[in-house]
Amino acid sequence: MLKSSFLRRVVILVLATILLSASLTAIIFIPTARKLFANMRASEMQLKAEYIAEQYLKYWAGLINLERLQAQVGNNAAWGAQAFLFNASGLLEIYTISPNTAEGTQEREYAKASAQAFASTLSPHVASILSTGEGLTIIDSKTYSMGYLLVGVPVTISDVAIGAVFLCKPLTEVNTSLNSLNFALIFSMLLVFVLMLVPCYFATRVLIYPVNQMKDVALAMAGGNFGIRAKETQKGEIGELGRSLNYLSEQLSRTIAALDLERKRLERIVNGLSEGIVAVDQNGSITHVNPAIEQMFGCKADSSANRMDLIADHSLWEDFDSTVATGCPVMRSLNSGKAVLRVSISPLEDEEGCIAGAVGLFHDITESERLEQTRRDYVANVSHELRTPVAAVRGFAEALSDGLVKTEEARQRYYGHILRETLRLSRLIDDLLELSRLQSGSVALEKVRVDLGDLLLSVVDCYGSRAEDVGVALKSDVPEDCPKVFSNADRIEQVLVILLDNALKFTPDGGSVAIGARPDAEQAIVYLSDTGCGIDPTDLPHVFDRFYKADKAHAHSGTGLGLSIAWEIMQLMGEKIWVESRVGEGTTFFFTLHYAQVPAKPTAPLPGKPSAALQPPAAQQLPPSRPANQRF
Amino acid sequence: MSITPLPSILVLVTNQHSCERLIRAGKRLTGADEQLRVLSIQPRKDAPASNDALEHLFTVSSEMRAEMAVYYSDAPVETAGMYIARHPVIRIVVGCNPSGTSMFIAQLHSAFPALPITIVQQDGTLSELPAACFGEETSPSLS
Repeated sequence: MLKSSFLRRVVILVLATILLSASLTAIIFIPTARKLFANMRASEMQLKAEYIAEQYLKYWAGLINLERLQAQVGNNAAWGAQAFLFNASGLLEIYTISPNTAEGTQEREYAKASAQAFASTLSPHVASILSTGEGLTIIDSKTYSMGYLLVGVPVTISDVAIGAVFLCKPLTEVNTSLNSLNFALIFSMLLVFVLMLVPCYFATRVLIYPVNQMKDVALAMAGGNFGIRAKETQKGEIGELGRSLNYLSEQLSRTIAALDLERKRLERIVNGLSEGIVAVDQNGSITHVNPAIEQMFGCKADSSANRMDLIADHSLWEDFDSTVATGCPVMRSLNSGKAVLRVSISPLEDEEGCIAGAVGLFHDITESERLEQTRRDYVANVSHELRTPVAAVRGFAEALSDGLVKTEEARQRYYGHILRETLRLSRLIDDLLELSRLQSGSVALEKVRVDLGDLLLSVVDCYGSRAEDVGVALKSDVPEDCPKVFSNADRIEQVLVILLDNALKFTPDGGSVAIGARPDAEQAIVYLSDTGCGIDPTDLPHVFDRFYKADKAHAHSGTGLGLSIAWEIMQLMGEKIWVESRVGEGTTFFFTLHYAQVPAKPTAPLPGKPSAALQPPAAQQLPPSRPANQRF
Repeated sequence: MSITPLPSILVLVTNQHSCERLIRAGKRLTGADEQLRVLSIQPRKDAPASNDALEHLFTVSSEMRAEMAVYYSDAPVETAGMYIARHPVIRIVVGCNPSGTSMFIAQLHSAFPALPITIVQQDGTLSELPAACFGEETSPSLS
């Protein structure tokens, strides 16, 4: 019935109030009422005692005799108390006993003896009255079982006490009246208690119902249901509480929705980062891992994973623990297979500034390290390529200047060397400038309708004799119905010459080089294949990089920029170029050219275009195996 | 599976380009079955920023196949001690203060008296502590 704590408490509180009120009333009322009742009785008894005193005065004055006095004093029933009359000497002269005892019976004798015994106990009071002439009232609840009420008055003549009258009665009557009153009081209080029980219960239930409903609303809110509303119809504080709760729900709903959106946005951002992120709590347990970690370490990005299963590097986790323990950030390197990572571990602080965990940012710097290495190599290559001819020119010029070359024939030979080295320098500088122009995106190409077959045959014709000089057969594999393409003939020829020059360098005597084309769905594919030794698979991804030479011994001449230029030209024309190679079998370069009938987009400079080194050819294919020591 | 870390040569560097020579000296002292580690302890107020010098040292460390770490702490001796305690460091390589004394090295030596400390002098020569930085008689040069 009283399942509700609030209801139970209110009922208990009301009932406790009633009980406490009753108890306090009883505690205060009972002694007060007892004294009040006793005083009232004492007043009555005092009047009666004074009447007996008057009768004694009459007896003392001789107006009435002793029999008359005894008759006037009578018995207990006449005064409602037992009367005692003492003379001036303090001797008991008259006393009353109960009228229910017959004369001469043992019971009467006992009553007389009791009265006389009691009278003897009054001696001190008698002496006091006779000496002072003042009456007294004593309420003695301790003597005897029921207690008694004693009233004494002096019998005086001209302020001289000539006797004393005492009336004494037990407090039984007072107690009986008082008990009746107490019973009535307690009964009425119990009745109030019982009568208030039911109204209290129902009144409290009425109060409790909206509170319970609000409790359900609050619980629903805690469970994430912000659509539920508390009743606001009730007047007073309960209605205001309902409105406040609904307002709270609405505001919480908005705030949580905003937080949820922000959390999702941050999660998307974190998960979309190319940098890996691992967060740990203050115990070092992983709380968040983003997918980039999965790519970096080849593990499943699961925040519940054991941390050594996630990244098997004990020292890394020690650094996480150190950051959590000391709050000191750590930046460190980490090698994961071939990847080089930079890890920044920073502490996470809560709103009170205490360390609540740490977050590690894993940045893969493998590519930037490689680029840095490429840059260093580039500078070294350019320096080397420039230094060699410059040193040669300087040596020849110094010899000529110092007059060390005596004969005209030798001088001409030296001039010839200087000229060749100068041309070599010029070619290198031209290539560097060409590559720089192409990469800067400032070159505009005019595309026109080009007869691809004629162009390819023209190149074969031009370079046929040079191929024969190095013992290589240059073959044409151009179909008769070679399509027209929409492109720039000069640039196509420039790419073909670069590729052909490379092929002739690396094809041994007796080998062959073939130039051809084949139609495809949307474009023609031009290819140039040789029967050289092929390219090593490790070199294949880098053949279009600047100064990249698979021939590490630099056995062949060349600037190392040709294929980079070819790559840039094809990119500029919106075409693709790639290479396939097999070690010991040869290499084939391919590039695409769009058909003339296909509406072509105007070719414009490509602003912000990344370098070939930064963006390796997308269509580049890596054959399973190739020979080493091939240089481009 | 637990991997037993290799004995390590620890090079302590500051954020100066010139500390490259310390890393290279450490590399020369590193045996075939030993790991080269580079540690830099920077003031905490500088965290988490790096700078050109530290980036350069990271690059050099990578080139030397060394594992480099930068700790941002205001208690360098304690931090270095913690790092040394965590890794099987068998030798410490530090640079020499031009003034000839270094409280940091002295405290480090006091904390790890059994650990040999190699001082890379300004001229590139290597000396063993305590002679090099405390004005005592120089021990035989390692280079």
